[in-house]
Amino acid sequence: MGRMSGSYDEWNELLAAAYYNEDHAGRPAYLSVDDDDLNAIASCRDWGPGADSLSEAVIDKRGRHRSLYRFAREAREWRRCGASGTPPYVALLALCVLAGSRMASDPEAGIVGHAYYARLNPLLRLPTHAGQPQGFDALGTVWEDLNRWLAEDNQGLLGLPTARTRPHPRHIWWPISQCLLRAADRHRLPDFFRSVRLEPRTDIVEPQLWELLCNWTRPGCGLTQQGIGTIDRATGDIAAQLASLVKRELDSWDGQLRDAQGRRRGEVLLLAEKLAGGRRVTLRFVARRPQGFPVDGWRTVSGEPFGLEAAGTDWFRPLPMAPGPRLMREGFTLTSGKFALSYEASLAIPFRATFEPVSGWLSARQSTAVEEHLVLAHASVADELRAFLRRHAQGHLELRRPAGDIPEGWLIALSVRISSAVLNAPPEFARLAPRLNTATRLEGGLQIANGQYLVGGEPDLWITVGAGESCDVTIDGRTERFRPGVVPLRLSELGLPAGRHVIVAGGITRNVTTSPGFPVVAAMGTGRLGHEFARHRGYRPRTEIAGALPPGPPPSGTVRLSGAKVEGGPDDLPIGPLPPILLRTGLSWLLLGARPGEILEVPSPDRPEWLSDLGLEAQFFDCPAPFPIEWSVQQGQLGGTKVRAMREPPSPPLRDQAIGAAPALAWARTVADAEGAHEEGAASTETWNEYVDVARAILFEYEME
Amino acid sequence: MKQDLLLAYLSEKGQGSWRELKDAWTWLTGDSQDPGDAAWIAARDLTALGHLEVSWGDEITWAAAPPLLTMLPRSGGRALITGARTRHLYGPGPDAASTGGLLFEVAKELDVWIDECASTVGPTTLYAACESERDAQALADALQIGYTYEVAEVLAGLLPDLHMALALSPAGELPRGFDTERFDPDEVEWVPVEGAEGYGLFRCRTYQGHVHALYGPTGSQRVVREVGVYEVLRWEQRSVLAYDPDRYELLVPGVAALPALHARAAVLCSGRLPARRFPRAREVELHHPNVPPDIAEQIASALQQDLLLVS
Repeated sequence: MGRMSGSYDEWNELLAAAYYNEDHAGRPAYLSVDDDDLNAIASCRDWGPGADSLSEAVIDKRGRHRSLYRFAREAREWRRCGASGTPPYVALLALCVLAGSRMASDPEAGIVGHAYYARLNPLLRLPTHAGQPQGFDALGTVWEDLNRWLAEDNQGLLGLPTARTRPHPRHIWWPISQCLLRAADRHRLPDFFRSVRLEPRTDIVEPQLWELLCNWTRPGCGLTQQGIGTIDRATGDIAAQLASLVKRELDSWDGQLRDAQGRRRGEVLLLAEKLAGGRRVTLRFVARRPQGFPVDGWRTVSGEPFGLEAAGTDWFRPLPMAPGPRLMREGFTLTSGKFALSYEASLAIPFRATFEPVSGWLSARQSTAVEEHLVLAHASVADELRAFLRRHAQGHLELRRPAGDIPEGWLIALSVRISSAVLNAPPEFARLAPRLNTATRLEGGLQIANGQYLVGGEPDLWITVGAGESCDVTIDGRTERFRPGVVPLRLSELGLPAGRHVIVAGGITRNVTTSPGFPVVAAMGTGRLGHEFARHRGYRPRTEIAGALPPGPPPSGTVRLSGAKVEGGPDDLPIGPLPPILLRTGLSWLLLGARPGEILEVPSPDRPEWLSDLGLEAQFFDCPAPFPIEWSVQQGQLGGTKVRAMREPPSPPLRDQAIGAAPALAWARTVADAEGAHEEGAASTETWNEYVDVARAILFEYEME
Repeated sequence: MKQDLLLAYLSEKGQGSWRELKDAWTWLTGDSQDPGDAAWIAARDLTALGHLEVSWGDEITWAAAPPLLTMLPRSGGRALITGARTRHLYGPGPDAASTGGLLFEVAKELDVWIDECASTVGPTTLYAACESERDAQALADALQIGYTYEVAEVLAGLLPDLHMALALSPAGELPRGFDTERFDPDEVEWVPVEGAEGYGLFRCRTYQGHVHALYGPTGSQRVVREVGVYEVLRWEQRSVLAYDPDRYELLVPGVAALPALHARAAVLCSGRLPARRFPRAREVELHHPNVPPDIAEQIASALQQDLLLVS
């Protein structure tokens, strides 16, 4: 038989585990308790309605004195004793937040400070209009302790603290700060960041961020009705709190999209291909594959396995199902562990031209002003769409059903350009209304490390200025004003020096750091790829294409090649050429070896054509060495002879190993003629004199014969 | 200039994904409509020059190659600086006065002149003008980079025979449902066909790019394009490589470009990408400069080609 309710301690542990855990590490964590969450927890344990069970547990714990001071005292005691385990106050604070979340879910009033106690008191079994419960004013220190537990005791590993207050009414801001936006809405904020081209770590002032959020928030944006209502109604302190919340989310954003359950989310898009000049249109679902997304383990919502295949690094292959009427109207989601792919249904979908994954038209979350679009719309809104396009668009504006595989009940308009501002788009056409407001975004560039660009590879700053506005862009203190339109500013052409640069535009401060490069000749990772060859009679490649090379020297019998670097044992490497010697051009040369008869006459060649083509001079030329060259005898154009050792030290002459009589005689005559041409004082003089002695002896023998 | 920036970027990063390389190149080339400005061409050229290695697998990755100095034949005593080129090693500026980096500092100390030769299709070629091989070795030692005497000759000695390269190609057919072309070894061109029927090299363009399959008596294989082309040329005993001994040039038809390692051996004879010539309408010929006859012979021999002599 099930129990009627959980104890305070049970609720305390369960709530702490649900809202503060490793999934939130490094990200803002909210105690955003609402009836749905509590029911989900309670239903697993047969505790009846969650809110009632929690309320009972807190009331039991509070005891007969009706004061909340006890919780503050216990918190102090827990802290004094070393703050080990779960803080004892999570369940009480959760109940306080529940009161706020019930306000937030009120479609009429929303969050209003004066209505808070009327929501809280019944949960504490106090008269509705009894005002502030006794001891509620002491809970500020408890909220502060919660922040400390998250930030200091757990170093943010269970989430970052988010509880905040404001001057008036001070005490109720603590719980309200936790329930301004439900988790499902907070998880959709990355859609907003991406939509307005904010990047992770963008420095933007809260008022500007709030303005962008208000401009973005509209039916179809992905927020729940409650979230949209909260933002629409927010003014004053509520708006400021919300702006702070969104800023915190931006500050901790990792650049990924998430679904309502917090799973990393990839988008399923529609890819349209126009054939026969647009008379035939084919439609397929395609999905991006963000980094880290698995290929395996995908399932439908109903748990059926769903096969996906990777197509390169950034996309999955087209999904193996046709965009039928039901999927188009209802959308769908695929999940694999902590990852999700979802197609979000819409009655009117703008498409932009694309070259990836293949040339065609890819559905877009939002249209872009003036750019050409293809619009796919459901027939049920055809008349309204025609009227909408007549007001706001240029182009043929003909809605028709081409041949191909467009699902039943859907129509297409080609060449649509939204050319005027859409101030109040009907919800079904929200995606066709371009957002025109002052915004900037950084694109491209040569980013060599996180947030660090190579000097000369600074990104482009795209500035969008809405109609009727102007935008001052300040870069490192220098300001330039931009008029309405979309303007790319190539930062790489500004000659920015290395270092940190501050760009302020439209309330957003961006920091761009440029680097001249790292102080290394070869960066980490250099040489990691290459080819391996096994040495047999020839060289047998181990792989068809370059692959990862293992660390360390290659084993015996293996040669590795990375770029131009060849590595291998001396016995394994191909035999390279005998290095030729370099001789100065414009002179005649006689080269001598140690054996009488080793003599080579080398005329100076013409400059190679390929060097002339490059405008390079050839002061030297390389001469193949058929024998080890010991000396060069240089004969100048104006006469004069110079002898120079070509090896240090030169080998002594090998008198008894002469090569033929005639060459030996030529060798001897050359040496003898150059007898006094050796550079005076050179270390090799003694050896040269030995050569002269050998030459004289050969000449003497020849004359004697 | 854009190739120099790309090389500097890849060298500073060391290794990365195809997406990073492609995004960088797309940003550098802007809105270029020139088909020659494709990222894969830039990557292919950098690999031929020995600056980069690319693993063209299912998930394409790249890594900068180790920096290296190598003497060049018939170059007036020049050594080529290839491989990774970080800004620390070579920091080009708009003029000679502002150009710097360790290379220039060390070269000045050793009294070695550095020639910078700009290129319209590749990064600047860097040569160290040496008076002897010892100068080149000393420069490499001071820069703490590798040194190999005439690496093109060593590479030519490593080139695998065509049948060895083919032995590594996996069995596989051409995907169906795409427009198909067949390589015509007589005309040395691709011609549209209905499907992969009979023996020969076929290709089709899929969502990820061209796929090549070689159909022969023993079945079909997915092959690297260049290897497949030279294999069917071998079947037909068709020689397409030519050599000009007077100019030391290796002439290669554009449609039968050399496989990656063979191209690297040819390119590292000069440090320059082949010049594109147009002998006839719609025909491109690649002229590799300064290729010594023995290296040209080794390249041709590895591809089972008879080298045609021209002048």
